[in-house]
Amino acid sequence: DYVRECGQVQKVQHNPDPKLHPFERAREYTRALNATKLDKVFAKPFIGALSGHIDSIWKLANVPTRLSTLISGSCDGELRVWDIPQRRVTWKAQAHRGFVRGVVVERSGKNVITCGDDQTIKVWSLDQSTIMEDDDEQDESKENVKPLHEFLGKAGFLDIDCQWDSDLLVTSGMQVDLWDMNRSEPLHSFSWGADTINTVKFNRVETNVLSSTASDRNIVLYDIRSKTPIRKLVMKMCTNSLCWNPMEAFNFTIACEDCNLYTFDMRKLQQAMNVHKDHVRAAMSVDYSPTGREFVSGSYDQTVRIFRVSEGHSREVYHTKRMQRVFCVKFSADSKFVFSGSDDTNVRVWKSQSSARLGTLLPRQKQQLRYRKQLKKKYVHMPEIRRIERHRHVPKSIYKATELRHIMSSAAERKESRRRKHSKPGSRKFKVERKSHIVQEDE
Amino acid sequence: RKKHCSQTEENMSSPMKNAKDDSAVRKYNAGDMKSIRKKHCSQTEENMSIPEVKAEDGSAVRTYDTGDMKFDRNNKWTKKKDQQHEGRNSGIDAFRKEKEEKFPGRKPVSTEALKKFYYGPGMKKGPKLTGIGMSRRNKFVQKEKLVEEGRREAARAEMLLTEQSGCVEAAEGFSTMNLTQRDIVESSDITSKCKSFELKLDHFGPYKLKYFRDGRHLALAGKMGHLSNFNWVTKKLTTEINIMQQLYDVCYLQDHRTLAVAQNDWVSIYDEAGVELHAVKDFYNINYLDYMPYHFLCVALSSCKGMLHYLDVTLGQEVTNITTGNGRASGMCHNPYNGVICTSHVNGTVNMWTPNCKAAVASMLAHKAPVSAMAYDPSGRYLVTSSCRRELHIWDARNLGTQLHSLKTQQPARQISVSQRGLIALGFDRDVQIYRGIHGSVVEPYMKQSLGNLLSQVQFCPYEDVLGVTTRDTFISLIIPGAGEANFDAAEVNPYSSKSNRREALIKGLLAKVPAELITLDPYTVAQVDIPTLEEKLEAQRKLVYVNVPRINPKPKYRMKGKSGSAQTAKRKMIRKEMHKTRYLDKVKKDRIAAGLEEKKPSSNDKYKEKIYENVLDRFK
Repeated sequence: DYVRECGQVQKVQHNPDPKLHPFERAREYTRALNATKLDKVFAKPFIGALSGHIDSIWKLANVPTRLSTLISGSCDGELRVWDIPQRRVTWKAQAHRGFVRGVVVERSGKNVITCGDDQTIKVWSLDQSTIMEDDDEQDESKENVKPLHEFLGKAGFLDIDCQWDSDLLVTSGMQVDLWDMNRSEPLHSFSWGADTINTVKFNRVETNVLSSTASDRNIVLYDIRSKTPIRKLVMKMCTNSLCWNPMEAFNFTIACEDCNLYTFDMRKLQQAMNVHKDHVRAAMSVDYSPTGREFVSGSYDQTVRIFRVSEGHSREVYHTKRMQRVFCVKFSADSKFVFSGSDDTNVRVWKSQSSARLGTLLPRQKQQLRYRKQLKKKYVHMPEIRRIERHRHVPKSIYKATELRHIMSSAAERKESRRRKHSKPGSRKFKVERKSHIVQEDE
Repeated sequence: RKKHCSQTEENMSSPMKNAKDDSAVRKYNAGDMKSIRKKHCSQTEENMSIPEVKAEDGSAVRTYDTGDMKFDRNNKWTKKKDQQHEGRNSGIDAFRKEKEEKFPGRKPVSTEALKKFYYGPGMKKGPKLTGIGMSRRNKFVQKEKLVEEGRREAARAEMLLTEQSGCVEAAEGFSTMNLTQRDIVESSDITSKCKSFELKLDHFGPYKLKYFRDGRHLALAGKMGHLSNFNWVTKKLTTEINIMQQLYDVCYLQDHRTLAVAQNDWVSIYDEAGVELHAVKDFYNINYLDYMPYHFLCVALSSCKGMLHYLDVTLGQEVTNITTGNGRASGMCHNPYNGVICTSHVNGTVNMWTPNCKAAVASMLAHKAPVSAMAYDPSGRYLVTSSCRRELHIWDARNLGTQLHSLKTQQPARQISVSQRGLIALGFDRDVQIYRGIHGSVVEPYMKQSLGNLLSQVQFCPYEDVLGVTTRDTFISLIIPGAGEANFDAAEVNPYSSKSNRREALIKGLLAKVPAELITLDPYTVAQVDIPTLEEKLEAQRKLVYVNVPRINPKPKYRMKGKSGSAQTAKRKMIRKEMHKTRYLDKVKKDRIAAGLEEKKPSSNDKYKEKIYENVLDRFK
């Protein structure tokens, strides 16, 4: 019964009696420690860089119908469509004069819509027949690619987005314009205040809601059914990017000039739901994972960080020696990869779980990984495991800057506490961190 | 069929025991059933499963066999229903009844089995967790539910065990004590017969023996230098050498091919070919050797010098050494439950040691005479000790100092071994007695065997119903029905492992090697919340009563322009010291207030608050 005969699968006898399994806790702890260390050993998040652009990359876009395609627009007006697994360009075009300010793919996944500083919106077919072989041909082919349509605006556009359940477009610049693809003039224009509007974004669930951020530090929410803006929030610092949570319709996260990211509930704008701190220079871009549980942010401090929505500090930090200031980040549609476009003209591909294995796994491997994950979860509060799990190496400049920021913030805190001590009780109110970065909310 | 038979018998319990009794599996103990019913009363009918017994008329009726009374649960239940829905739902009821008969649901888990997997009272009766919010408390509650479910499933999995174990039961008026080995061998099958044998070992005299953890391999070390290592089931010899030195003890290391031997001067490690791999010369004059497989620690005790050594066999380094004191040590064993090493001494004490502490973690006066032998039971719950005054004590090993049972033997026991199923073998001068029931009252021996020569050592073989006994000139393998654990766990120790199995197990064991620092009296303290005991709290309070300000030696900064003269520096030093003192005392004061040793003085702000006059003119009163 116990010995394998020819061609048989070996039977494994089990007896759950605790007498036969001594030191259960200590052995489990050792295994958990090993699992945590193994995670560190296998943490190789960087997959590759897609080089080819001549200037910094300003915008990235996913294609909703394809996992393997990524579109990038650069500061010299070039548009490139990448095949990620092949790591090569499918086609490219000189889309605009000046920056490509906004890139978005239509919900059908057939057309790419770009806008730029040259006051135009261009619609491109995603499936161009040009196949690139070598550099000379490339430059010729660049001339050959022509947009399907072109719209001319009154001023330069700064961002573009597309509604998720219809063909409506929205652009920002002097004001927020709502476009129909079949008309040459905008359907409607929203404005509140007189400054330039940097970004605009449609909500993916409540598809009629959209938001914009402007350089006069405000965030405005609109409903396209009501023809007037709904609400305005003024922050202490300018907002660089905004992203709606794809799973929780009313939550959005902003990347702010003051190095922090803030998650808001659009129903309660008096205070942020969470303040995500870790960047040491302005956060430039933010994008949600399709799961809605975490988001990625790129920053001027040359790092990409991944945050959990419910946590104040980042789960992961990615950097390389060659990566410069990150202007745009994007989560892939299967939430397994992160793309970053930076000043050094490269698009970089990262894993979202740094130690995850690529490719298909055998059932036993899967089970092993599940077991390890559970172990780590169980013993996460043990000091040794916690230390190893939290440790991240960052470049010296960032390490020092973090230290300095910590010194500054603790000094401010100390000063405040002393002031409170020496003033009339109750006269100095405690400041809530989540409220302290908000100036006002207008309706 | 033949093969199956022989192999089930191999692990077996007893040749005397009847074939598997199906009715015994089906029937529930009367006592158990009552408690189950109590527990399950809230659960749905589907969760109950009831053994089927054929009634006289042939229809299947479920009954509880509760001793004298027969309680027909199903009938009662349907009758009640019938009264309620007279006629209306009779069709549905019949359908339900039929369904229940077809699918009686999961079998209830016996309380006996549940008890085995008990991990403590949990939140309800454990130490109170204060200062945590509702959400976190709920998380704990959820977690506890999971633990409880796991416990239930583990207990339920016992049903899947393939083997059964049991002792020989004597008919009324007879005693198992009178059974001889010949009787047992005659009535058992051929595979079991092979397990009873005797080896004549004439010249190298008194032998030490050690079974390997899987119960298949046996090492014998004769005092005069004969070392052999063989598979005693197949009788295949692995190693046999003459070391030409005195051998005191032997033990297996991680696999059955490496042996550590306590020789004349030091400890040597031999491989299967008899090659001396290492000589651990720091371990001098060793008398007792033991090995802890989960920690990869080889423990050696020199009884005359009173030195206890720990050797990490993965690194080949000594972890620590401890001076035991308490006079000559008369024995050593390790507790398989928590990895604590236990030494017995001639002054009657039993001391417990961990590698993390130079002093004994526990010490117990077991006897008022020299301790002659001691052994832990394989679950690590009981400690059996015997003294030269013919006493035998059974102690609760987790609740030290609690004597569970005591016995007066005819002679002092020289050797003790406890089997996996709780049989105790006592080795006397020229005979061996086996007692049953470590928990119950030990009155008369379960079996006994007289020996031709002076006894040297006894040890039960794991996973087999075999007791190995060595004397001055023989090794005897005795069949003791009901001694070994019938169901092994292949993930831990596999008696039938192949070469690749062993290799994999070795790697897995190395990866999960428990650090020596984790050895404590209670193995479950790992990853537990550190809640201060009352004693510790009192100690902390006591420390606050008398405070000594720790001294500091400040070094003031060098300053220009003649400000760093000795007088100036001394002055600044003084200021620093004063500041340190006041800060320290302030902190202590806060702690004292928090501990309730001092009352808080009203602050200046509080004064303001108190003096809020109702009328402006009141202040002139």
